[in-house]
Amino acid sequence: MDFSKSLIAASSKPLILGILQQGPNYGYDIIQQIKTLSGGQLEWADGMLYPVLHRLEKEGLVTSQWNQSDNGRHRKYYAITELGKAAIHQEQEHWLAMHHVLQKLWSLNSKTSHG
Amino acid sequence: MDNQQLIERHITQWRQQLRKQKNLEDGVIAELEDHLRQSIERLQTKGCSVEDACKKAIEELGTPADISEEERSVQFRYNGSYWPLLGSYFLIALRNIRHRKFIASINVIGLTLGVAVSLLLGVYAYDIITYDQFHENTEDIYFLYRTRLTPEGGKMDVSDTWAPLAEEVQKAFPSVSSIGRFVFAGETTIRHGEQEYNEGVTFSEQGMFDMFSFPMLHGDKGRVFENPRSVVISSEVAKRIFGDEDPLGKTIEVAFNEPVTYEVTGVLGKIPFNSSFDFDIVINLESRKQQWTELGYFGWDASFMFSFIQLQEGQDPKALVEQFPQLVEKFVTPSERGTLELMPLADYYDFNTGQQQYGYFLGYISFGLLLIAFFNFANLNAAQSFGRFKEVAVRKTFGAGGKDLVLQFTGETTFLFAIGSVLGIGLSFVLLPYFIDLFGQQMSLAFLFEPMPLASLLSGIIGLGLVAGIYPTLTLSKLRACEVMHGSTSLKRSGFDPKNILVTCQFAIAVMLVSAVLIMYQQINFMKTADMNFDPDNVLIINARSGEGEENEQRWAAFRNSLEAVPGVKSVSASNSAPGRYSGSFVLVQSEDARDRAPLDWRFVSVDDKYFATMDIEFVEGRDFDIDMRSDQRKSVINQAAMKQLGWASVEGHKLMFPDSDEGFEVIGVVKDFNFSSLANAVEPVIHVFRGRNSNRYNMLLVRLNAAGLSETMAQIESAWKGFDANHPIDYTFVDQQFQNLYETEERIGSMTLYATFMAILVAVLGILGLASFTVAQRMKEMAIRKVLGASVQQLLMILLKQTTLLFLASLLIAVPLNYYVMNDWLEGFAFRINLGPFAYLLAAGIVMVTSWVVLGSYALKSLKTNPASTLRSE
Repeated sequence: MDFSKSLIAASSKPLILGILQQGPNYGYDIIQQIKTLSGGQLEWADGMLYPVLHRLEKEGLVTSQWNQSDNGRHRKYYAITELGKAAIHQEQEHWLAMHHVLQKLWSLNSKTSHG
Repeated sequence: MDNQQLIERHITQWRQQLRKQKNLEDGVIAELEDHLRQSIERLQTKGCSVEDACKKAIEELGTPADISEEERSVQFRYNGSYWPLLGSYFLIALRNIRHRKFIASINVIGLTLGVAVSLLLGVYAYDIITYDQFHENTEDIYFLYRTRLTPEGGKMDVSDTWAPLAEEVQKAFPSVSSIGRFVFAGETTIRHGEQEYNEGVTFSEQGMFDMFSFPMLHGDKGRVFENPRSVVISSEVAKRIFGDEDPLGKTIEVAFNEPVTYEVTGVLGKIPFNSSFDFDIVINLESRKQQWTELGYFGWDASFMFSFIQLQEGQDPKALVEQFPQLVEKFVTPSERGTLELMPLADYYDFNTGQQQYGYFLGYISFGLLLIAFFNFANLNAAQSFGRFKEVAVRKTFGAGGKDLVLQFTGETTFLFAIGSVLGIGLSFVLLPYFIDLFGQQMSLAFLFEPMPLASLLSGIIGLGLVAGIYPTLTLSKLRACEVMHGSTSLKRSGFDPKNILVTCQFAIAVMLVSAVLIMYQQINFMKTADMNFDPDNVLIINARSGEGEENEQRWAAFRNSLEAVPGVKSVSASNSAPGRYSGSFVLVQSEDARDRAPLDWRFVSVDDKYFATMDIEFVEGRDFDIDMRSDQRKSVINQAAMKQLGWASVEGHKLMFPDSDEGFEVIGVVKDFNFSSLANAVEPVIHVFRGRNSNRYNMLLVRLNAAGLSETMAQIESAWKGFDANHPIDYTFVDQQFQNLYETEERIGSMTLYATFMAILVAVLGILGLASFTVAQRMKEMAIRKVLGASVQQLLMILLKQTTLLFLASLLIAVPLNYYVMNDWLEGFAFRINLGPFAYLLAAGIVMVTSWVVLGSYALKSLKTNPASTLRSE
């Protein structure tokens, strides 16, 4: 599915925070998870994830740390902070509210068109 | 090459690309590299070849430029330090310049030229406006002068006052802290050893040096005139007379009637050029006091000193002025009194020359030029920014906020503006020597490096740059990304567009400048060619004096005769005045039958019996002086202006008297009002008295020549001179030349305006060109379709020119009335002036319009000639 770019931009924050809520993770895996979760429907330019991660870090929603991975390579891991967890709740509320509004609207529309 | 090596090679190449983005830190690159390696591994496990896996992984990651831009917005928002940011703007700005060479270079060049010329004119204007204000005590120094009522009920200023006045004022008012009097004696012969020099001599006193901040290079400024026989000399005079020796303590001899020896006690440093006073030699007034007192000069009967007083800080001069009448009443006869006034030193230059208006005039021009350059910049910048819709849209998509875009775009604009301004300032330093050369006017830009001017210059540049950047930025940041991506946003073609206002203003300023130049030259030309009621052509002025004593008079008479014997000489006359250089002496007179009325203050000139004939001045009544009637030496010839003040219908039966005296002049003739000074001035009343042919009061010989054989005549005159004075070279000029010199200031200001106008047109044309390139690019497709549908190139051109022409016509609505107001005001300063007609405005409008048509047309024509198909296919 071809998501509009602005929708991707807006949703990147809850998506990333949501994945990090499950435990610390690194950029490549975060992208893979998003792709898997969306069944391949969300296609990002991979490089665009990192500026978002860096922004979340500057905002204090995530922290990062360089670790040695299994094969000896250095890898940067991100973890969610308390502030980040609070932000997830806020994001959840916003998206649910939007979801409700759209659902109502569409059910209304389908009723009108059928009635 | 094995697989791992291949992967490493791809990654190295990719890393190098990324490193070019200076804002990406090593950590970020390492993180991305880790990502890339995982992608490659995954793609390999999926069965891709190593080569494909690398290429695909790099592609998936996105271009280095995009990543860098996104990172920059994060860095900018959260980094405390702005320096890396400025660095990145620098790079982006440079990249923009590279990408849009044409517009960017027009933009910077226009600004550079505008700033350079505007700065030069502005500094010059400032120097004129702040004439005499470099003295520390400027605000407390006042010029003591008088005004007299004229018979017409106007006021006439009299600069000189009586020698004891300043002293009495100081005695009467404790708030006066110092007094400084000047007597300007003109060129005087100075001797040192065997050598003779001619130097300008000024008499003054210690208080003058205390009051004014004239720089003293050597000597104790507070005590230079402790000894009455002391002089202060300029460093140039010191160099001329004493060479490299230390002049302090050395003596010079001043050739008064009896030579007097003075000791040099001080050497003046360089006086700023915007000073009303400049000195060669300042002689202690005290040294002449006794002799002048004996001659009656140092009393209340002779008024010839320029008096300045300094009040204690913050004292109100009004308090003094109110009490002046009582003071003067004690000492001065009623007819001489006038009304004493105090004038702030800052007004002195304008009082003397009436030329401070040119400071403001040039100031406005400088400002106008800067405005044009600035509008130009803002406009081109806006046009260019609209071309960047897509870039904005992409960046909005990636979550760049409105704020980021505002900062990015404004920053870029400010940066570009700063480049142009700094280049402009640099250029003004390069042009300075030429400017000085061209206009013969000293000035310096060194003050720009002082903290205050530097700070205001920098904040000015940044402030204006921000303003130029903000307008397009705000519009851009409000754009909706999806509209832009779908191409549904385009430039508004109608309605309110700030760009149009800026272009209109540019046109208006250009038209105002062009018409101002035309009007100035019309007026100058008018003054140079006007009929002045005498014939100024081919009259030689030889500067010479007969000298005292019978022997000298005979030598003088012989010289006159030898001049008259030269075949090319028509007539010879002696006088102390020539048109363009009239005597500065005045005399008070009254009509015999109106002795109760205030005395008239008339210019007083000594001439011989050949003067009016030589100058070709017409008599309206009576007769010329007659050498054979000895009694004519108590008689006078006046002009029509003088007759008007007297209110006489005819000179018959009237006599002119000195106030409070039984003596006076009989008037034997009236001449037509001829212009003896600049046509800026009305013809003032003047009285000519006859002193015979050989009087020592004359300081020039006027020789009317035949136009033909001028060089031969001049050679003969020079050889005649050698018989008169073998020791000095002949010193001569011509009356018409003398007159032209009177308009030197007007011509200088005119040519400055002319240069500024060229610059203004050039900058405006650059701006029109830049806008045209933008318009053409915007409307290329529309034009191509029209062309396909059968429109001719001419029709297309008309469509493009129409909008510009409408804006131009709108600009005339501002330009013409504003210019009319300013130039009419300027012309008011001339007694003899042109009337403002439509000619200058039509011509100015024509020049500006045709120039912009040609520029716009040739550019558009070039673009329109391209094959429409190629334009249409390009999208």
